[in-house]
Amino acid sequence: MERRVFVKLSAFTALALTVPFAESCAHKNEPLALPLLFSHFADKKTIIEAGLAYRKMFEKENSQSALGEALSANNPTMDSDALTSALAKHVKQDFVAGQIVTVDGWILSVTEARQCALFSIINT
Amino acid sequence: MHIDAKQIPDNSVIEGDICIIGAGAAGISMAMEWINTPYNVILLEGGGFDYEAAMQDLYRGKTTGQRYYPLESARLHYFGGTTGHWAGFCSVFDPIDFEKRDWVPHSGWPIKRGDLDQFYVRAQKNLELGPYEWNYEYWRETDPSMVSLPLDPDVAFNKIWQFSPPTRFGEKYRNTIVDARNIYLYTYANVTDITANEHASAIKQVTVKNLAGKQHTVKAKCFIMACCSVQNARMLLASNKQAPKGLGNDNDNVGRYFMEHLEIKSAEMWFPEPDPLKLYSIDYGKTKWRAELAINARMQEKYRILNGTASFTPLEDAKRQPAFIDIWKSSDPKERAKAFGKYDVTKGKSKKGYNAYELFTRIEQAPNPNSRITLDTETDALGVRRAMLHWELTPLEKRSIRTIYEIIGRQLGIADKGRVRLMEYLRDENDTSWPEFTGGGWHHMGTTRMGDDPKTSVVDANCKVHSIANLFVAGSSCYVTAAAPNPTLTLVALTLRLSDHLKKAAGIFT
Repeated sequence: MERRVFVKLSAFTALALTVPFAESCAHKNEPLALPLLFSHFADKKTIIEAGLAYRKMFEKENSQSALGEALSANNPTMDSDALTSALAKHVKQDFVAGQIVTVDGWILSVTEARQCALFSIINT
Repeated sequence: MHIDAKQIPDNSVIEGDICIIGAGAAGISMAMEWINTPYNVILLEGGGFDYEAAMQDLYRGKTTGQRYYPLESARLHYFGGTTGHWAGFCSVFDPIDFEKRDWVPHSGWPIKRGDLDQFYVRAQKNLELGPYEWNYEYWRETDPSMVSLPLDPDVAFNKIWQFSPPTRFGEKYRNTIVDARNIYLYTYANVTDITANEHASAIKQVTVKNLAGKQHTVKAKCFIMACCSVQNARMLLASNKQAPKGLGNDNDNVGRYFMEHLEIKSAEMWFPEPDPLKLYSIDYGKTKWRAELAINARMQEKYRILNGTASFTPLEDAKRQPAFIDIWKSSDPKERAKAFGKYDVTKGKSKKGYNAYELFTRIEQAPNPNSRITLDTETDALGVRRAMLHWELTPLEKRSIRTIYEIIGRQLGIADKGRVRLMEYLRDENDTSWPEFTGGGWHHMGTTRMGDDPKTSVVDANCKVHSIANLFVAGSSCYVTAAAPNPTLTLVALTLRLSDHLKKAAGIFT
């Protein structure tokens, strides 16, 4: 795993384990594993279920490292806000380009589905 | 003029210029077109002026295949017909609905949308609709608060629905018909046989009966069947004395291609912020117009899908509402109104709106020769073999529904507006089965489909039965495809077109 990905995930894991998701403000601290728009109406269980469905569909990506790298690619920044913004942009670009996937019934961009998958690994 | 066929002497012979069989939206619209003309018009209604269980029982019939409503509950058998319980939803067919689509087997009308435009204008008056305007942009100017979801106009559009009061033809037009000096309305006059000449090339007369035991004969120069899709097919098939396979059925097309609109809960739509979706909401009895989300023709072609629309109900309300097919059981319109009233989800909506909505599909059924009306061996109280419906869907309907929501989901994603979640039955692309709650819109179409080729159709572009000089069909049984909209507006337009044809071009009276 690339060092920067490892650092991000480790920090997020600690936060997620100690603070309930809904109150965690996790999205401010760990954008890689938090689908921004989706998380505004999906609860923790829903995000995990979507993530599990994605991991089942794409077994090659079924690891923290693979998902972390896929999500970090083209996002060289370590700044959380900038990363959040970049990922949101990727999500929109996915929809424009038709990079969508149906997981647990949700029609999501591939990027946010990966975010759900990463979230599910970290939170289960 | 009104005559009760139970009260006239048995074996009466009734004669006129035109005989219209059936007094629903089509039959009454047709009759009104001929008021104050030099022609005597006989309008035959099987029932009376109100619901009667014994009359309704004549519509009873078995169903097989896809689960369906009791047949006797889907159509009303009294003056005014099914407008006695319709909800008043109206919209026009799209141009693509008339076209031959290589991805929709058996599609393609012999007429174009433009051929109906002038008749739509007239039909809207019968149905007490607003102006002949069907563009969202027009209506938006009348109420700027009707804001659209963010859609790429090259992908999806707001298809406008207008709402009839709803016009109950039996109440609204009873006096118009009864007071007309040249319209002879016979109630309790159920057609039990259509008699053709020896070669079945022209109709000589029809036999009518009622439960009082009376039988009469009706003679006319021209006969128009306006009894609804199930009954039109039933009567043609049952009238087999001169044509063993049934009238107009030389090529085994009568009764085939029965179509319904699939009306089914399909998905959820979630927003981070509440949205009232005023443009898409309805308050029955108050709302004059609204939009449903539709997929434009180019995208239908690209994805090779059927034409359908999505409407929205707040999810918390929708979850309390059982599927229509589980509510709609009685043939008595009052009982049904009570059953539906319990679950009316159109009242008392939050002005702020909701974060989650149910997406409800209304979609055309692909024309399918195996989806059909046949005759049962059991007969009704008047001795006519009952209708049997085999309702059969194809994998195209299900794939189309799934694709529509993938397209809508993608549109919401591009706009960063929200997300769509498919219901479980739509998630597996390889699963072609339908859930128990699958239902129709009580919209019967097809069974005497229109076409240029007698080998593949029953009526021609003017709704004349191909091989029979003076037999015409009015109503949605002539539809080749079902489109997305509720059928009433189009069937009335098609009827008015037939009426003009009879007056100007058919040569029936010359």
